[in-house]
Amino acid sequence: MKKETRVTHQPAVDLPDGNRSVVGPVYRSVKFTFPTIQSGMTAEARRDGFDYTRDSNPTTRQLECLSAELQGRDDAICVASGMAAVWLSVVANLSAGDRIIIFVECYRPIRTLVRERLKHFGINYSMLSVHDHASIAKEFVAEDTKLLIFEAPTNPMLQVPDISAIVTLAKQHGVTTVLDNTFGGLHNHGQYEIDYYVHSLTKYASGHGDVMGGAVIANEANIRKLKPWAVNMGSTMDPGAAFLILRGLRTYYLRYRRHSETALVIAEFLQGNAHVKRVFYPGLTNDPGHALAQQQMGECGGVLSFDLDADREQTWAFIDALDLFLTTSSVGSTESLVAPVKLYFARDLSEEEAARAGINDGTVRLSVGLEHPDDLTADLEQAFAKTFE
Amino acid sequence: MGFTTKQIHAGVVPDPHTGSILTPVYQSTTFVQDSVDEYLAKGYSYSRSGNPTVRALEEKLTVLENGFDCTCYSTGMAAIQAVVQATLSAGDHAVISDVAYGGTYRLCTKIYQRYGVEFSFVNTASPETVEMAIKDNTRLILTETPANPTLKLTDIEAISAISKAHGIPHAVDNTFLTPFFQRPLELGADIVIHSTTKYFDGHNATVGGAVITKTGPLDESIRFVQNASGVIMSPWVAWLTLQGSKTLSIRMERQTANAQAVAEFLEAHSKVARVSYLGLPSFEQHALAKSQASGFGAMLCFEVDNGAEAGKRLMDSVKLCTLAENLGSVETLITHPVTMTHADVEESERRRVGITDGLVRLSVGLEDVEDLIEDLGQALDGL
Repeated sequence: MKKETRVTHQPAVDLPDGNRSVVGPVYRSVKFTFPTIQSGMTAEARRDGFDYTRDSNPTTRQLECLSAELQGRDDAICVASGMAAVWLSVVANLSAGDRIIIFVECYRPIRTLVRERLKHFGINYSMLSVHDHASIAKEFVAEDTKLLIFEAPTNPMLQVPDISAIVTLAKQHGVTTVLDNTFGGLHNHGQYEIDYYVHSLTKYASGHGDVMGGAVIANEANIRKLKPWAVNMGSTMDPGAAFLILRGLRTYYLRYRRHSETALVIAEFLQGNAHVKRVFYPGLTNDPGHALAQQQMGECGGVLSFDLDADREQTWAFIDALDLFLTTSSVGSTESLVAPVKLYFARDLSEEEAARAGINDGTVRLSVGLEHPDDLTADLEQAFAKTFE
Repeated sequence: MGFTTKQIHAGVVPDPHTGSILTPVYQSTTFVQDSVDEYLAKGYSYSRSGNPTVRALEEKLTVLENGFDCTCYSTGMAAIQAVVQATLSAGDHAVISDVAYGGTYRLCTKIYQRYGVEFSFVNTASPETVEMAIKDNTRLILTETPANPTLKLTDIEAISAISKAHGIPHAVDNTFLTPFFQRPLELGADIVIHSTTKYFDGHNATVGGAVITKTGPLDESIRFVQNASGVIMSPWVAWLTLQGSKTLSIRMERQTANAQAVAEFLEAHSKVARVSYLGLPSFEQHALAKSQASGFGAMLCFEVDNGAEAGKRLMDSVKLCTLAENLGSVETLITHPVTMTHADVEESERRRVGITDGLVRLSVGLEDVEDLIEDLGQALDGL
């Protein structure tokens, strides 16, 4: 063989039997080959083998297996972003003429997807409140209602839905449930009979703000139903992204606990400040969602929101005055982040809808990072002083 | 400026902070705003909506295809679905090439038909047939030229003229020839689609897709889908694709020269019934290939006598040609569509689009052509 050929057919390095790498490699290869056509066509090869990275990849598969196990389900499909996971779970379960239920409290891109995109596909929607069980029951009765997508807790206002009550109603009426469990985390809410869990792995799973990814997690039958859709739509996760998320997950439990502990310190600190009207964090004992959150998930994660007793200008000035809290969207990374809620998460809502969602000009969302709590409270303290003196 | 110069320099500016000649891999998911008032002043907020590394690739591809702008995706199929989703709503109709890639066919029939979108799969090699297929509710014409795997060509200029007369966007999947050889937007098309997995990457190292548009409004509607449905390209993939793109024309030239030599060898071989390659004078649409593209590409297919059995035996006896379904990479890849890429397609459907039992597809790579010919020769002689 000439050397020009050799550079494209490089020597294989096979590990001796029993000699293995502790951390799985990044399989960058697009293609996987079998020694003969026949050996690639056996039932076993088709089930466990790999062919083309759009369909499946060993690095991504490792993340799928781990995510499914953490969520307490059989299987998972990993995709390019959290929104790709939402899209997959919704589109594969609906047809023209169906109705989808969303909550006014939900993450803005989910509303955009449902209200701006799905209308092109002949999908109707109803936007309810997460706490309005009477309306939920009423909408579930409608013949055309096929699917509910909701979050626990909601982003950005940390409302805690009664998952058990909602799932019971959905089961009664044959409505498919999709839970965006990003805020709850991969280790929570597995005890409910949710049909599909979706996660933005960009957040707590990766935890380092350095990679985008999403997952749909469900029982085997539901994943089998979704798989051809994922392959046809090509919403594939990059194996390099899967590797970074697998690395992030090694510290997942440590980080989620620390995020939750520090967020509670910050929430209590904010409650004691005269310029704060109200704090939204289910970890606080006086939060309306506290009892339910205790029962459903225990630790409450690192995101909280609060209302400043201030107009829009003062609220923005407060946010701009923070040093350690960086102004940007996203949550669940090592750095603390801050976002003006109305500007970032409610641009699509009317004044009336924003009010129903509990959002006003003074609403601020914090994603509490892994910094020392004393430094974070000191930063908030100096921003209050600078803005309100 | 020449194509090779553009493929190296377009879209990439040295990093202003360090002078790094390569665009860094911006793996960051989120971008800090200087103040609430200056939201998006630097152009980035969240990597799903925009990422500087991915943006560099989008800008490079825009220049190479001579378009208005570009959006990148997790895969080529995600790029196709973005175009389909942005242009079609329930009640609409699309005209699609009948020899479109199997994945495109499945996307349309398994997913979009369920949402009340209608499709006509027609022979786009015939402009009259396309004209006749257009209805009042037609909102997209999607062609692929050359087609996979039969290499059937569509006259881009003729179909674009029809689409223009009806005010319908014409999208062309340009994966097989790349802008180095063929630039559909210059021939009148409105949208170009790529699986960057193939020649842009060229090294079998990433899966990715891209859509290049001719106008702002088209780009805006497709970009909305990119962000809303989240089927985005990762920064790592964009970076690897940026690097791969820099040798695109060099690889294409060499792979095309190899393909020409292999095609001529096969055509002269007694065990080969028929060879389809754009660069052979015997190719039915050779004149069209010459007029709308500046090169013939590195894909070819050929027919061995004695059908599926011989095809399979050939596959299993080649040593250098790798048995794998991808194409466009430095490795020569060989596939037998009947048992591999098109195994799920009904026999009648396969026959209709020209996929016979003995058809073998070859993606000719960068190896020494003598080695390739020797390998194919020994496999054919054994039949």
